[in-house]
Amino acid sequence: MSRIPLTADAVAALSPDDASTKAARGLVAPAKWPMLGANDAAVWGECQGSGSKPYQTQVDVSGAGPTFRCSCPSRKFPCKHGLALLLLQAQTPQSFTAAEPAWVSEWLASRQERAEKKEAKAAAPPVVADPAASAKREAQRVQRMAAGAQELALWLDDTIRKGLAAVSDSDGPAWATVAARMVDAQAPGLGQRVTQAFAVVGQGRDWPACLLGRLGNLQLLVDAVAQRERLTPGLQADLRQALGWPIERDEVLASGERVSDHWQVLAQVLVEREARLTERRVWLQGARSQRRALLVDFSFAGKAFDQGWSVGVPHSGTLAFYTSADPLRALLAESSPVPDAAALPQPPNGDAEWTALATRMAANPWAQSWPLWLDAVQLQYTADAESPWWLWADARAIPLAISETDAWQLMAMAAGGPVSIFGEWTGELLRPLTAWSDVDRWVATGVQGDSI
Amino acid sequence: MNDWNALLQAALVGAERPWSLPALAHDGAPEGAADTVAHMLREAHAQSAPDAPGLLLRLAGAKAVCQRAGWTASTTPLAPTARAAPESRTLANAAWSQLLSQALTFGAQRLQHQVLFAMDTATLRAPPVLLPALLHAGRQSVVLRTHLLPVLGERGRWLAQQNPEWAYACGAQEQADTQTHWAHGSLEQRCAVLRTERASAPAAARERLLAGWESLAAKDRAALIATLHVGLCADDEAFLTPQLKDRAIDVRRTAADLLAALPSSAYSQRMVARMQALVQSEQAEPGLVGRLLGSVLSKAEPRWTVQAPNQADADWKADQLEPERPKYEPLGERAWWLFQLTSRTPLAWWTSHTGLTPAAVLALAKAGDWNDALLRGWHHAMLWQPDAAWAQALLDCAPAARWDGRSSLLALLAPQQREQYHLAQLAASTNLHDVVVSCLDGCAPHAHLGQAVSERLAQLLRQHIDQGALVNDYSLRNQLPDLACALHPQALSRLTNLPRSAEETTSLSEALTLLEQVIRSRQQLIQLTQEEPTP
Repeated sequence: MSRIPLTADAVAALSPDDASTKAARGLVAPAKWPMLGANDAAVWGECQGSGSKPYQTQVDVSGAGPTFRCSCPSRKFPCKHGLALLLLQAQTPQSFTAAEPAWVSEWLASRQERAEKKEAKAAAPPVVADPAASAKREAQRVQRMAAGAQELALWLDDTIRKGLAAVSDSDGPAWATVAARMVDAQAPGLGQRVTQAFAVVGQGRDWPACLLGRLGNLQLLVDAVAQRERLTPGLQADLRQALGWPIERDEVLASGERVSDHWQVLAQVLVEREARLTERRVWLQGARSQRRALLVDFSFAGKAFDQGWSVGVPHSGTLAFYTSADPLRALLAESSPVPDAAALPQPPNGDAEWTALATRMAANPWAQSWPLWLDAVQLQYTADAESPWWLWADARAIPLAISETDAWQLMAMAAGGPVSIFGEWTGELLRPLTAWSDVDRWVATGVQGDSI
Repeated sequence: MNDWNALLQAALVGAERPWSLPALAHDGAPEGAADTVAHMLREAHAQSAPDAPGLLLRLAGAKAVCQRAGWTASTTPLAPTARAAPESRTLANAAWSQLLSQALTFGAQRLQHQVLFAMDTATLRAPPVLLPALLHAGRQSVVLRTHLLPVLGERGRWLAQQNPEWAYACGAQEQADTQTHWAHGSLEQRCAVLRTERASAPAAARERLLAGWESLAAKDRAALIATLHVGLCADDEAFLTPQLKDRAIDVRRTAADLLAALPSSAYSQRMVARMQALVQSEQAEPGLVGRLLGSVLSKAEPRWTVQAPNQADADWKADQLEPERPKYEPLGERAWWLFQLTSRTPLAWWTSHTGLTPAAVLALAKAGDWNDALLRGWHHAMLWQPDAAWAQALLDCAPAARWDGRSSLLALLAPQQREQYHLAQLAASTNLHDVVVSCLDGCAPHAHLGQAVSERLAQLLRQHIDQGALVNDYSLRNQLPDLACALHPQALSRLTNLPRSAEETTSLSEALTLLEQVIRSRQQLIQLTQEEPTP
């Protein structure tokens, strides 16, 4: 076995939460694992759970980051069995002696097959089943969404006529009904924004201003639906995205703008959405093109993500960007087999970065977070209860949304010196995801204020 | 008023009422004539009917997007924090860091202590990523701090300054000289300065303390005066006596305890005089002749009795004796008085006055009415007047079960005596948990038990586990991580390859896994310590 197992700390970093780490530690006992094995491509084992049949746990370690699969019903991802398997390997690699069983070979083969199929699919021209029928379906959905938007416009007007001062916590059910009607109208994005707007009511000192901003943005959205035909193709795509009508992967792979580069992973973050659904966001920057890209994947019920990513490990390949007035979101269309060692791209010049941010905001007014990379900033803790964490740069202060644990880790890493921080800007706060000093790196364990 | 505030105000009261955008200023200032956003808003306003649906929200939405795009950070009047001082210690390598990280996650305090002790001895410092967890652990446990503070390094000390919760770890740079530590260090650093100096030059340390005494806070005075316990000598009396009148009760009490530990002090003499009236020989006549005759003529030993005081004298308060019994005090009023007198009477007086050994004095107390008060008093006196013979005697008559005072007594025994004591306990007791607790009590956090005791303990524990008796023994389970760190290294092998089964309960599984992990960490620690060249 030539591959070096991950260290216990590295495994713990993959854990979705502390409870999983703790549960995984409880399973780090060879006696609990009647069968253990490993080779260069994968680690596998059977873990005796409460049922009669042991859980089959396997980790594909051939990619840039490990991908997990387990037969247990846990909705955590990765589950405690997967973590325990890697912890056990870090501790006693010599006990991983079992030969590769069929269920591992099958999984690896299916992953390989899927990767090949994906490539083949990407190469093949898209197949449209029945252009006429699908066009009709689309037209129907557009009609429904337009009707929903119109209904929302009336409700918005009604709300603003009565005045925002009249809005209180007790209006929750009424607003929830409006949100539900938008889902019925096949525009879940509108419903989500109604819910998000109501979430600020009564929160913090200046919630009325926050609420006005969010409702104003909704008004721009319903205005745009009414005049959708006059929008540019990019803005039309952004509108569709904001309404909650995702663009098909195949369509992006078939017609999206393609960029080949050495992609540096600037940040990776996992967010648990509703039950059993995990969202993964990976931020990339091309070494040659300087393009930023966001890969968003979802994993349901602990299924593995197709491609593993690790911050700092570059990946050569071609991305297909979603159509947008400000193209950021992309899909990995092709991977080059050999990852090149590329130096970390230099953090951008401060003024240029803020200008680029403003340009992105102007291009797509409905986006809700943007990449922001700040160089030579200092983390500062203040006694302010509402927002204790700030970044200071040139005697100016940028507010942060960061968990206390993460913040103190970052503070310890920076030790008062300047750091370079990449994160997601929400329009008023920065959610830091990765930070670099001259000698060290910090990676957030989670994001704050990103729940719906 | 700017446009946004005008829109917000209109939105709050409702668009049903008439509203408008404020008139433009013609000075080219923000939202003056030169502001394109302001023009755009007014144009849109002018082109719509005054009560067009959604007009207010539309303008607010557009203004909000523009404001968001034009966001600039506000200036801050505060100066940025200074950077951490350069490090003087070597950064721990991956093996040490992993070991420390494990010790912190397992939460086994003895393991934490041992790892920190070893890292401190090897002049290592913890990696930045572990500093918050380390500072948190030190906040929870005062005993960890001795070796934790140096291992923090300059970066850890700097980090502690940023969080008020970690104030205990602030202080002067490690490499600074004694004077800097004394003048600018944390309380712990200042105590360390005094303790070190007391060991070599007690008078100089006393002078150092005296020089700034008046300006110290009560908490600092109480902690610093206690350091005089190191190298306590008759010359300290002149400084200690006035402190019996200190404003802070902790200072007064510590001063009294220290004076009681000086048999020649006037304070001790006063206590002896009070005690003398209560400890009487029944048989012997008062006076030297009678006593001599008694001991020569009678074969029977003189029968000593101890009485409790009948009343609290007026001068007691000045000597830190409390006539008032505290509310939750289990002792009765007279017993409470006797306890206080006993705890501040020199231990040596008991043996010289009665001519009995400590064990005989204890037997005497046991036969009398005031055993509880006396035992507690002697135990308190032991804290300030360490004496191995008394410690042994007190331990021998101590209750077998849990007892809070045991660790301080066990610490006073020579290792061999301690070992004997534990072996006797192991032979006599049927409750493994109680013996384990007692053994842990007597074992300093970075030391380990003797081989014979360790082998026997490990053997019994292994039997216990093999028989499945651990399933319901929650209290013993909680002691396992600490015990694994206190056993002699040779005895650890008895606890490896524990019998594990898939059917074990979750909590037992966690306990056994933790035990296995702690043992593995400890073995790694032993290995690393052997590799590390001793400085």
